[in-house]
Amino acid sequence: MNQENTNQGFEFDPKENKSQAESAKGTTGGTEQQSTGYQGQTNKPEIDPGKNKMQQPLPNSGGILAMGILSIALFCCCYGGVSLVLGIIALVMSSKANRVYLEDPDMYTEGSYKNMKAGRVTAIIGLVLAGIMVIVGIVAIASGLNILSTQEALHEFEQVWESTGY
Amino acid sequence: MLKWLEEHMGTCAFKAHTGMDCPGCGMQRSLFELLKGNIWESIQYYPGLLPMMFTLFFLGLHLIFKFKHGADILKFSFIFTVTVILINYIIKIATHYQFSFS
Repeated sequence: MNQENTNQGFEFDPKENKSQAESAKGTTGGTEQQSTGYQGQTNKPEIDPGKNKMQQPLPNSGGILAMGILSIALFCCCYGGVSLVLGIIALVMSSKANRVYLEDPDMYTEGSYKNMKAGRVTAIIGLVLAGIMVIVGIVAIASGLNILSTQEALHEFEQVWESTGY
Repeated sequence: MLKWLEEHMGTCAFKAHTGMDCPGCGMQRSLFELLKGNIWESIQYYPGLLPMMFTLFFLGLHLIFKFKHGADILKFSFIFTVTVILINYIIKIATHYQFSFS
């Protein structure tokens, strides 16, 4: 009874399901804390082999990957604004998913974590390119307006020049 | 259908405003050439289209079937696509575009 109470004390994460808590009854809190590091997969057999069955995909990992890749495919729309928005959404979602994963790495499948990582990389690349393009577009429009005005000025100058008779 | 689409191609806002090609310009022409079956012309118009289509196609497959190394393959294919697009764009800007305003 006492042991069960201490175990429940360690289960601070609300997402840990009940059966997992029961299966981890025999293990001490030390192994639980070790497993929360980056290399959580290496000491998996120490904890419980039955845990693998309960792994679930990381939320939104597929969506993050899709948005990261689409951010380059929709490059040419609206001065790169679409890919800028997609990249930002993917980055925010991936950082959220990363936090969720690091809280409990054994809970989620490795494939979905890889998906999330790849989505993050693609989103960063797409975001950087879209950002460059947006800046270039703004600068080009600004300079383009200047050209127009200088051309108008030239035109006016020519008219004045012709009217003087030279 | 194809002819109608070709007559009503969308215009690039970037190009309309700046007179300069954007990194995505040529994709539409390339896509139409691909739909007609002219792969070589399509590559000449826009070399990044085929790797991009492969990436998107593989993305769909990966999201459905969940390949083991799918994420890594997608990442590298994405980086390859981006590299091709950027090199193509730099070459295009350097050769075709005269810096008439300055």
